[in-house]
Amino acid sequence: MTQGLQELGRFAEPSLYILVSLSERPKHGYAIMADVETISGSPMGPGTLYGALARLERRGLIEALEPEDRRRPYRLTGLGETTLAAQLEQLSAFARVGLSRLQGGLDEPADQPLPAALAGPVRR
Amino acid sequence: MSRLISLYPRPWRDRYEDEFRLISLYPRPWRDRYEDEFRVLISGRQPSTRERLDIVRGAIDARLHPQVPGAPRDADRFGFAALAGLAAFVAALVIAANGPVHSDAYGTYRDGSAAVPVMMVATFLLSISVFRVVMQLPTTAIVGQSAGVLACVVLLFWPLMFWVMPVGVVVLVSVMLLAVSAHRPGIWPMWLSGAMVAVLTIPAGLMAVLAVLPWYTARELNLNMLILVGPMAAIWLLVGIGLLRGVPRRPAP
Repeated sequence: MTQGLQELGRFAEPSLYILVSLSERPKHGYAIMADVETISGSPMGPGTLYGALARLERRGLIEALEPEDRRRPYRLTGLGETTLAAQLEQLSAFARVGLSRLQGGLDEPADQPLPAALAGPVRR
Repeated sequence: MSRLISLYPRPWRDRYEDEFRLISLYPRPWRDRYEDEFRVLISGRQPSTRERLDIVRGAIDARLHPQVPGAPRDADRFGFAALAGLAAFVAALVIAANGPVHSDAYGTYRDGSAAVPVMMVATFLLSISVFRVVMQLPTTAIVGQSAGVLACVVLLFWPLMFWVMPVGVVVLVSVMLLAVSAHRPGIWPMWLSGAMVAVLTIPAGLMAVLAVLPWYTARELNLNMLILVGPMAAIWLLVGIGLLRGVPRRPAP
């Protein structure tokens, strides 16, 4: 079963960046921050990072590994990989719809629904 | 952890301890789980103002939307003894406030001695409750344990010397030290220990001032004793709440 990230409220976007960062390999907090800044172009604060990490860990999307020199790496779980893949698919579909409409694509149906991840209620 | 920080050179501590203090804003279960790695994260760089605000915002979020469950706690039913003591203390105040009025060479005063037996019950119940808090402290909390035991003993005799101000100062300061010691290992939350210290500071200060004044001068101040002793009801109430909240259950070996 895929768990959406929309229920994470303001932590949904940082959580997605973290999942993408961890999809490469396990990383500790500092490495995740640096990688997210590279991916997104804007820095992620320590409070936001750990707010998102705590939520992802609680939902079983990531798991902590044994600490290395007081730095604890995190890695994606199977559920995390599935969730990330589903989120990226939804974003990709959304991007396709948006680009198609921008280019005046007449082949897109007018009542094309938005992906569920972009239309659901926001909870924490 | 603070001992580990002291190993760093002074310029480093000056630069980063401010950020480390912000971590104390996070709730205890969060700190138990993430504090070590969070410290490493922010010690590797100098956080900007925006990042400091982000840490504070994260702490508020961690309190409003806790993601790390706290350890299960075992409530101590002796908290009810403290609350019963609170009822006795209030009863003692009512009795004292309605005692007979006497006059002497210095003027008139209200004789509250009828309240002494009820007050003894109240302080006895508080004494055993305070002792329960002492028993919850770790063996390393020597200051807290000493202050707590001192409070237990003095409380038993306090009603007999209620107007001897230095005794009251000893009781109140001991209880405040005990409250601070109970916070350090996570037995009492910050708000509970902070409330105890905040509420007792004024009565303790007033008692300390009255203790150094000649007794007739103190009497001429015509201080309303309810202002002095009323806030002390907080001792029974907060000790009772602390015991009923319980202590974190130790994991099975």
